[in-house]
Amino acid sequence: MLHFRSIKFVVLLAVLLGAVGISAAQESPFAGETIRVLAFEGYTDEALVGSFEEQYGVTVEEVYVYSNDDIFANLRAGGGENFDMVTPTSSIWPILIEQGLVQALDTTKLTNYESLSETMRTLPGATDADGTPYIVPFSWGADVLVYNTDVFAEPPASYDVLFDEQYAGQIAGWDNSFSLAIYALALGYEDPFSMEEEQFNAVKEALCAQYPLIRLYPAQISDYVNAFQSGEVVVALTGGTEVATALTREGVENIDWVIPDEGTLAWVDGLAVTQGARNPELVHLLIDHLIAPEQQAQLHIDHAYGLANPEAYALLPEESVALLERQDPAANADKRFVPWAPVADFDLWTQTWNEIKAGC
Amino acid sequence: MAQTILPSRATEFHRSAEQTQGSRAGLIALLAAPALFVTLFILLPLGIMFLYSFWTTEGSQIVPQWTLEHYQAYFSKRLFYAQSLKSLRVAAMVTGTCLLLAYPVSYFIATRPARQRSIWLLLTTVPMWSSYIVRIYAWRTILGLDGVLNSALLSLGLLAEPSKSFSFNQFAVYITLTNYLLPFMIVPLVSTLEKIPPSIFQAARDLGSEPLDAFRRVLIPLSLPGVFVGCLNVFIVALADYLTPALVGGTDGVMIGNVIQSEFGASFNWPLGAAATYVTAAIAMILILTLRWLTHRRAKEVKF
Repeated sequence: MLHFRSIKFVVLLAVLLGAVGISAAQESPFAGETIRVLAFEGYTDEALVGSFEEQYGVTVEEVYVYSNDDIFANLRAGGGENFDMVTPTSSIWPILIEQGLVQALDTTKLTNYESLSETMRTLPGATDADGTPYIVPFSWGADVLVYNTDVFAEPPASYDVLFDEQYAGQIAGWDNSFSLAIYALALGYEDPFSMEEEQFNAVKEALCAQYPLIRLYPAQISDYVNAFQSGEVVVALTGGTEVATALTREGVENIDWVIPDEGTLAWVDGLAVTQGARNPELVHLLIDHLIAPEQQAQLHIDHAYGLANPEAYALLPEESVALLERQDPAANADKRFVPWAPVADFDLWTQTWNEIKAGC
Repeated sequence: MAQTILPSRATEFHRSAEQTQGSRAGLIALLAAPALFVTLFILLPLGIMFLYSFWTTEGSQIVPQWTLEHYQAYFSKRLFYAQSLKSLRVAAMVTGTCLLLAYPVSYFIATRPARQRSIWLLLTTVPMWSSYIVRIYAWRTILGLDGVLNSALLSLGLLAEPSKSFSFNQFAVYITLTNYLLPFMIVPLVSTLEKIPPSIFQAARDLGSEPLDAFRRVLIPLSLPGVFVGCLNVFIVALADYLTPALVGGTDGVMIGNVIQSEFGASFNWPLGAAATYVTAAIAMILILTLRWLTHRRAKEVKF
């Protein structure tokens, strides 16, 4: 008897589940499909894509990457057909278009496209030479100096502080080969991403001379947080304000950040449909979802990144908006903002950076 | 009498030959799976990597264009050969320290009664139950500026202000790796030492040898195979490690593993990374073979 009852139960359950499945399928023509995403960690968090998955009855399946070269390697491995969406940084946008790894966008299907920052929408590589859009800006950040306010009564106004003997052993660099471009900017070079050979050598020399003053070159936010919390470091070069935000969230109060007078390099991460995407229409919907104000606001709340869609500000608490506006180019009109751009001989950059990190 | 109880040597030999023949097919079947596994998942990837080390990258693709430039780069660029030498030095120091620390511990464990021995061995592996990364971070908390070591030295009055010389340097890498790899030295040492019958030591004493002399001339030579295996375990892992230098090494703890890792990661120059891997491995291999020759020659001299 019990046996029979349990069979009935299972059948009932199956019918119920089936009904739910069918109802989802009836609502969405995409039900059951999977979107394969190649993304930096955090960009397709459940908090961001969960509602999309539910609405369309689809699954977003992500593979995490930690560098833009990883994006290349992964896309290459499958001839561009093994993923549907990627999240590249502005430094590789033009190359992705050139190599035919991403496809042109139909902006009529992106209802939020027009509300995105125009500066970011028109960066080199966001569109091709004819102005056809290929990449949708998603998030951004600018390198800043994070400092201990007990040590610095006035914010350090220049990258020079990173070369100041006075703070020897209490300075943190940034473990990223684009540090070379930041210091090129600090030296006042016109184009930090395509330097003349002698400019490149001058940057290298300056960084080799700086090496003895550096306590460590953190690669992750947690390493910075640890270094400031323990008092090991009083000033650091970082890839964005996220470090300062993380410290504030940890309850560390004597921390602030500043964009130095020489300017800053701004990275912009974008969303793109791969050349071999299985269902480009569905990927367009996901991209539109991710740049909608709600998801953009959530991205800032969870990860403290700068946002491509300023309409999200209306959904954020006052202090978040203040922070976002403070790092905006509009509030720093007297400072240079140079977007991350492709580097011709990236291998040379990485090796040079490795040499610097190892003491030259 | 003995003849009737024991089977003759001839029949024993005959039977075992029969058994061997019968089980040969089984043995081959048994070994086929691991052999296939090793070929597919170890030898083949290593072979591909070796091939890559002679190829080049174009854009973000590896192309079969034969060249020796990566090997040249290794020997001409300070970054590679200097980091390799430094890593060999750190790995050697870690191995030496592990050996010095592990030997007395292993001797102690090996001379316990069998039942106690397994408990002691189990205890030495307790640290390995937690993730390696957790242990690296633990050392960070101990050696850091606001760490346990600094607070202890401050409260004892041995330091006037917290010292930065414990963390984010080669010293921190050395300490962390030694702690991590100690069990890898103890386990093979114990298994060698426990096989040496205590009576041998006794015999040496009976023949007039001083305790220290017996230790030096009997115990040490007999334990050399274990010493070799332990050193091999520790040295290879220490040489190849990149996580410890990345997390506690700071600016002067960078090792060859970190350089190789960034060639495979950030710069996408797999051929150069592969070449650096193979040169480092070759140097390590030469050192290991030398060590093996030394330990086995010495061990043979005292074979019993």
